[in-house]
Amino acid sequence: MDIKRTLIVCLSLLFFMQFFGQGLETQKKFALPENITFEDFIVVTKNQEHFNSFYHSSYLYFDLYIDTDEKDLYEMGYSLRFRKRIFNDSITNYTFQLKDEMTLVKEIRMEIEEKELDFYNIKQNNKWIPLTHALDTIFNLYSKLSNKKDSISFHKNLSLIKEWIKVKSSGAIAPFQRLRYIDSLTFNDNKIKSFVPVLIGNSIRKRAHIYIDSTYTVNEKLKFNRRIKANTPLFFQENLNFNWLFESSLDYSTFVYLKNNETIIIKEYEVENKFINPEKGRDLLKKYEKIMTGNLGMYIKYDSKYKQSIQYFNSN
Amino acid sequence: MLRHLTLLLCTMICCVSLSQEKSFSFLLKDQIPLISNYIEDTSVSINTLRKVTDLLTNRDITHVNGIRVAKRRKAFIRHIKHLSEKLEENALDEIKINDTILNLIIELEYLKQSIIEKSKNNLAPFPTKKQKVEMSKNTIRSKKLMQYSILPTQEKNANNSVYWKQINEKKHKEFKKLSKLKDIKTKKEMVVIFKKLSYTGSAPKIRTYDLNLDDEWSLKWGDEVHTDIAASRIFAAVGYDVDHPYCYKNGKLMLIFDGTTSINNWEQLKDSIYHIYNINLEPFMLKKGVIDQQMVLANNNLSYYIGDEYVTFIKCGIEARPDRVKRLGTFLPNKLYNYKRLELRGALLLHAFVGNWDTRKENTLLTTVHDGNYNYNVSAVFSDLGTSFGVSFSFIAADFKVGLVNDFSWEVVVKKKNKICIKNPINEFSNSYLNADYNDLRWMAKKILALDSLTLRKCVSKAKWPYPIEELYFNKLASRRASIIKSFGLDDPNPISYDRNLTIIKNGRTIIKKGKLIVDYKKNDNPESFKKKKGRNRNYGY
Repeated sequence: MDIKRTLIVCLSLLFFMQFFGQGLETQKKFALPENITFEDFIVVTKNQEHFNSFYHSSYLYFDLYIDTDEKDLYEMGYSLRFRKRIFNDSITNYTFQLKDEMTLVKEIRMEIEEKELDFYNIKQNNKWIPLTHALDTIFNLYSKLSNKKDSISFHKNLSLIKEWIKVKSSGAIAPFQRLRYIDSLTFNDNKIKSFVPVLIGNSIRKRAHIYIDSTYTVNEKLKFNRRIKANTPLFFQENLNFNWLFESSLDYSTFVYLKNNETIIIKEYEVENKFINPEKGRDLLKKYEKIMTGNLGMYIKYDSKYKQSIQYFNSN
Repeated sequence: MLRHLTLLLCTMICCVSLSQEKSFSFLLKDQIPLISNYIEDTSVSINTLRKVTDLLTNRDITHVNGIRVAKRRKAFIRHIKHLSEKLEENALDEIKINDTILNLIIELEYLKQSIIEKSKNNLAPFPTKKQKVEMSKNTIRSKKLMQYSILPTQEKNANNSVYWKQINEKKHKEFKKLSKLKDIKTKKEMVVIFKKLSYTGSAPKIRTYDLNLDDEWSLKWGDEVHTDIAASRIFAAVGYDVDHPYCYKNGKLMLIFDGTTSINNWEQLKDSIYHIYNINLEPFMLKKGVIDQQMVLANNNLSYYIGDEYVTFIKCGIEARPDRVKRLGTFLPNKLYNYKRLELRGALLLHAFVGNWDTRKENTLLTTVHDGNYNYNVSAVFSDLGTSFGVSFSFIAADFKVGLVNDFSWEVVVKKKNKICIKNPINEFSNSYLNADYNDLRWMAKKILALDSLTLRKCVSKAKWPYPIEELYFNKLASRRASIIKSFGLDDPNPISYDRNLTIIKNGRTIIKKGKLIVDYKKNDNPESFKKKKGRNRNYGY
């Protein structure tokens, strides 16, 4: 590569970093070998060489993916979803997220979130009802449409979601703002208005902190990952000798394609860099990747759950 | 034509409702024509609303008219979206504009304009030569401008607003009350963690984290560490929102260098401050060292920092930057008809009472304060009140020094024939100050009259001046209060006694003689000096 080309690549990379500067995460995604159970995986990953995992929470996620009938977002490498999170069977929150795909050369994913949906309402029969009520109904009913009444209610609430998207297409909703910024011609008002729910499902997620101890930290001349208290998990506030590197998610997901009710199951393990120095964090993540692939027979994958699902349904 | 008719109708509806003595945190009836673009066919215009909301919440909009838009924080974006959503529902329901809707619209407009002002200020953070000349001119012409013909008495009353609130009792507790709302927690012995250097302002300062790592503090040294505290507390006692500065002496504040930044010890900090502000911090340093096990035994919160270097100070000031408060741009004293607000016109006399000189609009702020439950209240803040309590300025060197007790006059207002004359030079006259009249100032004179002895004593003692200086300031404040009350012909049910010939002798040495500080008191403990007029070539603030 000549100097000019190298320079252009560097500048493009810099531009890219600035462009997506608001919501970046560095992560690795692994496919689990078929023969390993979740329970075994948790036991094995608790201590892997210098890397330790502390499994701290169970999350239940419900996702409703949105796209055009022509799958424009999928084709362009994006996924857009409403997500309901239930933390340890108690706290619930709702978000609306736009993500792009990770690739071999791009381990940084854009993630743009409308973080609170609680104050948005949809109009139904001249009454304002919370957007989250419609989502709740959809997520409660999608897996058990056993009778006509449930089916009607489910589809009625899907229509409300479509209506909300139409009303808000030109509004200050973070994913729509970013889509307009990415390509205002492609993602014009009419295009966003045409977004409809395409995929629904849930994921059971086991979250873990991945850390090293103070001895390894000192030996490797690393700094302690110090963040503001609000962003420091209790585990690390109580265990000052442990150095927080990553967060991991072990997922078991089931998705239903709304077009034909086909189902897909996805099992995967995601590791997200949380280290205070992103460069060092990336190096450590590479080390961890080697251990995971070498010791546990896992392999790297890049596609989002949305992409995997649509690819699967398209091929069937 | 239709648009004008609509506007006229809306104005009429709102004037009727506003005239019924309703008060709004933002809305003034004069402002209604200014927000006509938000109104379409007697309802909220969804297009205008979305355009403004998009500007304020879309981080991909980085420039407007070639100006880089100031950082819009998460909490700010969240508040704008809450506000906007309420208005959108009104628009979609085609609800006719009413005063509540107008108050929401004008709040949005305030937030927009404040962010635009901040963006413009970021473009030119340091005063230009022209602005400095203007500051000098204003300082010189203050005496002439601040003469007010005595008008027939008109009892004015300000409504509670985003700018001011009526304080009826325990005025001395108001500063603490405000700090509680902002979740500001000080300790007798503070520990802060170095975050980054600061490059703005003239007084040396740095940014630090609180030990809880959620909140931040601005750590300062120099002549404003007492004055800002007393002035801010007096403003709070009268009903204004303020910054929250505190003074720490005798090593009661420890600064830790946690090794996560390029500044890892006292020497590096001292060199950097000298490089940025041309000020040697050495005289302010008390002790330096390394955090050890023994210190951790005394304060377990330090366990995270074993082996890190620290430094303590003879004297320093900290100003709270709580996580709950987000600072926007100025509180727009010259926009949106704010000059008509009694609470802003009257503030001129309060500036004079504390002897504040730097009244530039840049020393005002709009803030959003999180109430802890995802609700936000907007508040207007009088910031940086430290250029007070005796200011000396040099026009040639564009320099100034504050907290010179001998330059803090015994009288601040005098009545000459049919005029009231304020004797306090200021460097900027906002429109509200230019438009203030006798009755506006009289309103404030009554607020100052309501400051009792306990309140003044508390405000002064919190500034932690050495005893003789504190005593002299207290006497001078009481005297200045009396000069205001007398000039406006008000009755003082609770006069505060003062002694213009105050003399204080300590250990056989006369410190204060006939109301004047005659020695450079405890030079080692007060490196900034209460007597020396030479500033630090502060270049009028930058």
